[in-house]
Amino acid sequence: MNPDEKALVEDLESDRVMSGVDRGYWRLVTRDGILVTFDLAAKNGRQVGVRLDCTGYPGVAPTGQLWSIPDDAPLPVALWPQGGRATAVFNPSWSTQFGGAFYFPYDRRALDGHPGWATAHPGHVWDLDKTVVDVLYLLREVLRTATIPTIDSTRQEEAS
Amino acid sequence: MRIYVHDSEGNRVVEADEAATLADVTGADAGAKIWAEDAAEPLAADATVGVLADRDVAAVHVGKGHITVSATYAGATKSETFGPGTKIDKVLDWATGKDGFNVPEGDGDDLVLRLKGSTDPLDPDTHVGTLAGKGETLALDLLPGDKFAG
Repeated sequence: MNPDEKALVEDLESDRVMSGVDRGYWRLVTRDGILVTFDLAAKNGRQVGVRLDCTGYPGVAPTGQLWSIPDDAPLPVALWPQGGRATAVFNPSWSTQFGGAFYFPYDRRALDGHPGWATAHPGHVWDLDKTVVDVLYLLREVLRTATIPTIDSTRQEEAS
Repeated sequence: MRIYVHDSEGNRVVEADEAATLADVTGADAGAKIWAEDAAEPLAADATVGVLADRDVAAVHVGKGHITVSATYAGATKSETFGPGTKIDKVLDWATGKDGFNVPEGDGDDLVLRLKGSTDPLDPDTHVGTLAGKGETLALDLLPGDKFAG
């Protein structure tokens, strides 16, 4: 097992991850090497899948993308959460150029082009003390603000 | 049964039988009280692990007393007293709700709690009794979450 995968596995077995599972914040769906998929609880009972690529973890931040759990594939852009802070973090015009990456400082693809974020957002600087849990909590915080799609539109899409 | 045991220094996880007393399982010092998570009042001194069985999460806080939490938002400060095992998520509900700053629903979703003067995120399952440490008060800021641009 490579060091990044070993570090990831250790963090996935941590009390912080388990606490989030037990409290219904998220569910670990699957892990394939350094790729790990979670189902996150969002607003109004909606679940949002995310996949994190933890290459180089924890020395560098993961990069992520929204993920359809039923299809085991990237979530179609039409279903991306929008509204509030979600509109900027899940920004199709930017993210689709970078593998669906999240536009925030805990995504290494976004971080690459934004050295000023470390100064502007000192509470969200990726360092060796950060783990996948910090990524999940930031995503949870962002998803709280999302207003669309509604749970109904998601269910219709999944049923079709 | 898995129990999350929080105190003024942090938290840990223990496994225990439902018949065991919480005092034994947590190793609480004499004089310390045990609160179920988000509860306003402590459990009975002889409470067993079984009292947590019907809760979503078996989590307790070992502490001495209530925590007075003050939150500052847009220049105003409001205070409320909570059990030390109250999660920061529940305090956020109070701060944005009608007993707090009565923030309109859509606007409230954009707000987060931080330690006063800090920008570091707080885990939503952190207990106010842990954030207060050995003290009896906790000062927080209620402010918009970071927006990443540029």
